[in-house]
Amino acid sequence: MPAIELWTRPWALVETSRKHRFAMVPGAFELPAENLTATWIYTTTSNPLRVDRSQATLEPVPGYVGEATGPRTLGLVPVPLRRQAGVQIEGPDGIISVSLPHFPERPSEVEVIRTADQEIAHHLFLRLKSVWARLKDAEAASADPSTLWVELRRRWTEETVQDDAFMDVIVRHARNLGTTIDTIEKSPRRILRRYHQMTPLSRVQEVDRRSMTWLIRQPGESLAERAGDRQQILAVARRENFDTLENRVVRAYAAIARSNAKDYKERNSQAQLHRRFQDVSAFEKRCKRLDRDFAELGVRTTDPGITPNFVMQHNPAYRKIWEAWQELIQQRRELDELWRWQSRSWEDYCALVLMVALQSLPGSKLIAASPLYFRDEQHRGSWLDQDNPFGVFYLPDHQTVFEVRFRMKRPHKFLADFGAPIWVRYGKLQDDRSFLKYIAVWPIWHALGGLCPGEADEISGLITLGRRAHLSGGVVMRPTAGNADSESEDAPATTALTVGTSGAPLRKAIGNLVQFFDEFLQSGPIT
Amino acid sequence: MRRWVGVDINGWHDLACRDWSFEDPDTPLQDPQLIDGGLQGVLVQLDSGRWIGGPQASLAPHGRSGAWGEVGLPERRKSVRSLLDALKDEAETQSHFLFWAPVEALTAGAQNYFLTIPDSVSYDESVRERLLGALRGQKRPKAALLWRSVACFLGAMETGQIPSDRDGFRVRILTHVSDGLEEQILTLRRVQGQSGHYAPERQGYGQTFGPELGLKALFESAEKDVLLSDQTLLEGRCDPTSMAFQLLSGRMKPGDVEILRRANGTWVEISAPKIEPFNSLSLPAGLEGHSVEPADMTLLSTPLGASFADTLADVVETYWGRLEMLSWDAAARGALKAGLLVESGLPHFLDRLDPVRLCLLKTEGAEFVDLIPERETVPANHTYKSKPITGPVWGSGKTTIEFYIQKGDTKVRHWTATTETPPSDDTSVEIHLSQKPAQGWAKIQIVSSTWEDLRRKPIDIDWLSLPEDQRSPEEIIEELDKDFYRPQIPNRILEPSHIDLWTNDAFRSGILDAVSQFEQRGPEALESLSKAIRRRLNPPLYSTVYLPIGTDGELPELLSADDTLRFKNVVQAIEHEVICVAQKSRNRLKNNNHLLCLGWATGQCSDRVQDAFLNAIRAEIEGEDHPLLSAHASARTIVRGAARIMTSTEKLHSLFSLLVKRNQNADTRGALCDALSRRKFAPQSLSRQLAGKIAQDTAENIDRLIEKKSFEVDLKYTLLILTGLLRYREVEPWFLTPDNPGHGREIQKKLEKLRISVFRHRKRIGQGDLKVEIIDSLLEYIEGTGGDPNLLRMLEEIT
Repeated sequence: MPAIELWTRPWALVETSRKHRFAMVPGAFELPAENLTATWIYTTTSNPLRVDRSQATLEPVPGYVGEATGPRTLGLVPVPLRRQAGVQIEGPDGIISVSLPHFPERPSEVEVIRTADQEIAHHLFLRLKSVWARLKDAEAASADPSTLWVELRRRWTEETVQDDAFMDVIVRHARNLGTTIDTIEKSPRRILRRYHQMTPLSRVQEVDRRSMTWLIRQPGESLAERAGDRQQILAVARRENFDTLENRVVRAYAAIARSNAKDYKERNSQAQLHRRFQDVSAFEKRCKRLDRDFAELGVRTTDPGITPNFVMQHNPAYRKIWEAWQELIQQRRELDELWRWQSRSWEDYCALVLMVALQSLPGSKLIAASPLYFRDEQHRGSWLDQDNPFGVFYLPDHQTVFEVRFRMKRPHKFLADFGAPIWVRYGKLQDDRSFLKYIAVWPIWHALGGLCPGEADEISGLITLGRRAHLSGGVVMRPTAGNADSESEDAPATTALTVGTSGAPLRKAIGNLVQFFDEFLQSGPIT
Repeated sequence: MRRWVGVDINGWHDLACRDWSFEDPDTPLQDPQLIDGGLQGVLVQLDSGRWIGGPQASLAPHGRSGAWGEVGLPERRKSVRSLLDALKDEAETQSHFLFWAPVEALTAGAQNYFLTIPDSVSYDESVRERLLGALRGQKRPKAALLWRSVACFLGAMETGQIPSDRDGFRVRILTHVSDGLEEQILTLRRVQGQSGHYAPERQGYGQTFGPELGLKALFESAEKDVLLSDQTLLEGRCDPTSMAFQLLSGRMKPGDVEILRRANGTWVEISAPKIEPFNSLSLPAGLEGHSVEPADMTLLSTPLGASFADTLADVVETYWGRLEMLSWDAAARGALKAGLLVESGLPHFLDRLDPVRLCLLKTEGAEFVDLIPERETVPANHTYKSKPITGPVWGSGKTTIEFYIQKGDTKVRHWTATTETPPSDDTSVEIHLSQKPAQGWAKIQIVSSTWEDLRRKPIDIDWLSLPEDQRSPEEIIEELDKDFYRPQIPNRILEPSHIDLWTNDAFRSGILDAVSQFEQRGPEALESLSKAIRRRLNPPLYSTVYLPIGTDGELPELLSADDTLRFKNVVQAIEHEVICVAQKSRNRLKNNNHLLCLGWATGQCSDRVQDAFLNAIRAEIEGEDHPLLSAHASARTIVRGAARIMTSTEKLHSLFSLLVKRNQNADTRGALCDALSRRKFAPQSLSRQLAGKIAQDTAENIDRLIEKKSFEVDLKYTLLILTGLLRYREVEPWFLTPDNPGHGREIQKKLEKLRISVFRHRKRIGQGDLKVEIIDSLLEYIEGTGGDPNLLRMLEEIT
């Protein structure tokens, strides 16, 4: 009978204690609270499982499909946006309902943090955005392709650069839309609405059928008699109204832009004196004021998905706001998708961190690298498109060549069993035998971050099991816990370390990796 | 302000330059930033199928060698230089579109860019159009082209190497290219109407000299030195090395190492040797014989490293005098500068456009008219628009109009513009030309203010679809002039077939009835067939005469396939009998019914019958006996029939040859009339000699007519022969004109005499006035000044 298992580590297949494998049978299954990591579903069938009513829900792990590997599949489970949703697996014997009650929920932009869970979710969201910003660094660096890796290294390792506020959509909006918002705020578009009200005779300007019907029903013969004691009749009055569709869009934009600005400031709190930070800060205040003023004018807000009216298409100021709003909505959709696949973004990020670290080794020289193509739209959390080898580094001091392979399309079965998305292949010049050595690199996404005590020892134990794969070292890369600094835990030929997404925690993580590889080259088990 | 990038992709050392930051494009950079596109640019194909260029491609393992597995397959790597070469070949369409890859790598985030191109005649409009086509696409920045020499000039102006305000200052730009040194002389000019703005003026394509000094030759020499320095490289047991050009460009020096992947997947370290690329050259042979134009300054731009550049400069100085080195990035910087100038509305250079001329027929003859002023230079930031050419007329009812367009000095193209709906009247059209210097093809439009279709949707020229005329402009003008004054050719007589002649009517029986009778009674029924087949239909109020079988042998469309087959079977049966008689295997014919049937079966008779008729005529001329000539008036029947049934040029030629030998009686003239005025291939069947003989006979005949005052049927036949003979102008356009050797002048004189005689007797002769009119028209034909095209039909109708 085919087995269905939930894994909490990619190397679960080769780990002998089976502590990271949860066998699942039809019915309800709740993932224990301590497992806030990326999860995989493993089956011993060659057909992909239907998860959440689709065969395409899981992201297949290469090396687990194909005749050479036998009938088995391994798929990465996306992180649910809502806690209640969980995952529904249609097994051969019935439905398995996996609930993930301890996973944080994707926070909304305008949510006020009240609970500890919301705090966790908020920090996770900030980390996700930071990872995205770091990946965007690669795109920005590729603008001058001749210095791509040098520039990326500079951005991530130089203290002065790290302390700059990063470029972001909201910075662009802050620069381009400041005056537009002022213009709209000063003279928002209005419409004159007709309505009926009791009006003193002396101020009546317009009467219509309804007013006249009312008038003839009043007692009295002359107009003065019909106007009664107060000398008022029902007449048409006109009043300014600001609650137009375009103003609602402006208010909706102000709310979302303010939230983005707030997030930006939080992520760049180390660079409060930077011009970008100050621009965004001023923009946040502007948006806040606009939101408040429009609320006072009775302007409501609107939801995405509306059709732009003539004003939004042709009035220069409103059109700019409409386009900016669409951009932020698109960004929010992307963030939804990134939330679901943040473990994949984490892998992309760790691959770049590893490349920067290898480049930072003393004397390191990049002798070949796959072109790095930054996708126009992310694909399941992944922005990078590259071939293998991702990068080849030559270390003249050690006469060694390192070759980084990331997301190999057809890894050898012996390597695939270890489930590592990144492999470092290395060897010495003029030495044929050492070319068969590999170091596995496992980026492990975790909602809270931080080291998992004993993990370095655990993967160290796997090295001996990986003889056939010529495995000689291993690295686990986890996110740092909150704003904590990067930490590491070493074991023979292995290391587990936490990687920050900006500033000192990132620099230190790169330093830790450099130290690991340096020591590995000097005393590591290269045999 | 739009974001511009200056791009210089040359395949040796590509560079780009921009003055904005990718990340923060709204904040201009203080100093323009150079983007290095890498040495000896390549593009590689990713696993996704996408091609990528620039430095990332140079660093990529893709296509390096089999040592890298699938990724190293050689077809996944192409050099930029091969793409540049492919641009010159129209057939290499696939390669053209790959050119976007290296450009894309250097233009990330840009909205517009200037791409430099060699200032060489090999980069004509077709190549430039191809290049621009390859670079166009959705979500891509907008491309514009710029001559590299101009870009270098602007780059040198930017750095102060060239004074920016000396009107008339001439600068020689020498650019080091694959095939030698590209020379262009540009003059600094103060731009009219732009106060204080100076721009280089270009007067035409640059020239390339000294292939021995070209980058290609130097690279090959350096590569040879590198390969010979290491056994592994020489035997090709590792990735190809890039050391040769790195050494040439000064990026690497002797003793530096390069790590290369061996075929077995291991790595090898190669040490760079010392190279001496100039040693093997027989300097400076490539420059000998080149005349040096004066210039105020000479600038040399080369991607070579300092030491090699100095050597090159020493060589070049011996020919062009003292020179200054111009940085290789000047082209990219200058291209950016050009973009910024365009952005601020100033011309980046003044160019002399390639001349475009349109051939127009004027009263004094054909003439090529300039659409672009030949000597004038135009600002390159604007599209040049010619003054509209007025005069061409689109004929009523015509769906096409033809033009000859001369591009450059010699190339002439034939343009046939087509419209779906023709104009109802002759309509004047205008020709407009617009072109932007250094970009693609000139845009030529046909518009009309009075013709709604063209006003709404002008016709654009499609240069690529225009066939090139191999003739020179002078030859075309001569030809057009001839066409313009070419003497008129009369239309031949065409008598279509009609079904009514095949079916019975109230008075006569049709051919089908005769066919039925033949099928039942055999040859006895031939008389009715011979009568039926000679009938003609001349409906009142119709100018056309109908025959049972059309002039070109066509049967009525309404004749059923079955009836057609029956008729053909009857013709075959008659043919069989006639051939048997001609071969003397049967008794001679008692009457002419067989011959009449076949003689009127226009275009339906086999070659054997045609030969039999020709043999009979030949026998008759030579006074010999022939089996077909036994019946009374059989010779007349055969001669007249032969003029109808000949189906090939050769046979008709034989007939003409016999007819000129035959006694010039009414039968001969009748046969000549039929053949010359009706048969499609009659002009081609005549030779100059034959036509001359017929003309001579006709001239003599005119004398006879005048002498005998025979102005009735004899006159008609004579004039028919003469008019039919004018169809020979399809072969010799000036045949029978007075100024042409031959009988033209003689006939003209005799016709004038004839006219006088006929005019004098016009009251007494039938249709006298019409005959005078016909002779007048014929005289116009002979003069070559006109004539009624339907003269043959008019002649056919007189009595």
